[in-house]
Amino acid sequence: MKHPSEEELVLHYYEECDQPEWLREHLRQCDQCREVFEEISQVLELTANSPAPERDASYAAAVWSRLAPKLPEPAPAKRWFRWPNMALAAAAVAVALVIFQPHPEAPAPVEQATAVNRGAVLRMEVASHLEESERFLLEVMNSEDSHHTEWAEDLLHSNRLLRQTAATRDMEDMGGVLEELELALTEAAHPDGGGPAEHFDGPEILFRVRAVGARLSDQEVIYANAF
Amino acid sequence: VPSSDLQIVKEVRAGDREAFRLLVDRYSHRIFRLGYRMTGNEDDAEEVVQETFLRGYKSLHKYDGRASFGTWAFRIATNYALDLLRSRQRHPEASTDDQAEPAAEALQERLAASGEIRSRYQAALGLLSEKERSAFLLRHHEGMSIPEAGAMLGLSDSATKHSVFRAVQKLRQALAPFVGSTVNGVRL
Repeated sequence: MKHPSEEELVLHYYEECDQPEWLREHLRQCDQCREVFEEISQVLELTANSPAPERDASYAAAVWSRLAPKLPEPAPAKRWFRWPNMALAAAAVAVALVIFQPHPEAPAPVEQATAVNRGAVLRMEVASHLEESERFLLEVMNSEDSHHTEWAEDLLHSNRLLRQTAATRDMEDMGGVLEELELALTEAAHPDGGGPAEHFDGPEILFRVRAVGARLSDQEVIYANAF
Repeated sequence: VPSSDLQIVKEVRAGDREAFRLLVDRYSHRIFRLGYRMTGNEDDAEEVVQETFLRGYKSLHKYDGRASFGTWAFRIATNYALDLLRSRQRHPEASTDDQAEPAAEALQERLAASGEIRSRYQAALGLLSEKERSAFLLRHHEGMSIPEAGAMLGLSDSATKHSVFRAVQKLRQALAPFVGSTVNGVRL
């Protein structure tokens, strides 16, 4: 007769074993396993009844009174496409574009180092852009309303600039996700037409954006340590 | 009509700091119990509660609403409690709580025995590895499924199952004297 392992008996107690019917039937027939199961059940019931100290109904208010003074002022509403933020984003992209202009007169070692720095700056810009895009995608996916076109337009504009810049620098790893993101943003910016015919796959593009964004953020740390 | 967690989070993000209080009302008791069971100490549990809400508030932009705020906050609480335990191991100091519940003179024998079980239980929890303790507490006391507990701890289902099983094994050893025992004819 095949007997269940003790691990299966523990899972059975929690009603999470893979073969509950078989196990129930087995326990009916097998005294040895039933005895072990009953012992496990007793131990777990003893511990289940072990109380944590209770807090009374005013506890949450006490927690709040201690917590509230420590909470920082709320950040400004996250609709980052407000004009001052847009101006900052545009300035960042412009700075990145200027940095990426070639400097043929620079000595070779400096040029090499500068090229690495330019790549690092672009990656930081893209990482920041992907982070904002991730927020946007989550908002779109979680929100019941669909008033995100203005935000999408702003992101789309930045996305195009960054994608084109990445293409001129042969940074294919970033170019791929920016291309996919651009399709999604185009659709989000033009929900009633003008975008791709098929609805974009939110979770899929979100996964890609997160994955590439996380990798770029890791590289930021490496670059920050290197320079 | 009670607001959903996500709705409250949106209000906080929009600048209504006071709305965060609703989440404190909703989850502080549970987080305290989790913190207590993780650390075995009321003072540490209070610290877990405060830090969980503070960290949660500061990283609210990362909350995506896929799970309840409680589940998300539990992850923060679990991680913080584990940090606290590690820190205690590195810098051992006298516990301010010492599991010394008031030695209630008036307790009947059964309650006294229950107190001993509780002490043994807390001591046994202290013998578990971090993974075992976290997985067991989330499964056993918080009622999370194996996949839910695993997702919170960043463990696979099989690793979570194994951690729970190992925890149960150790608890069986620690509590064996109490299993099936009676005090004055009362089964514990």
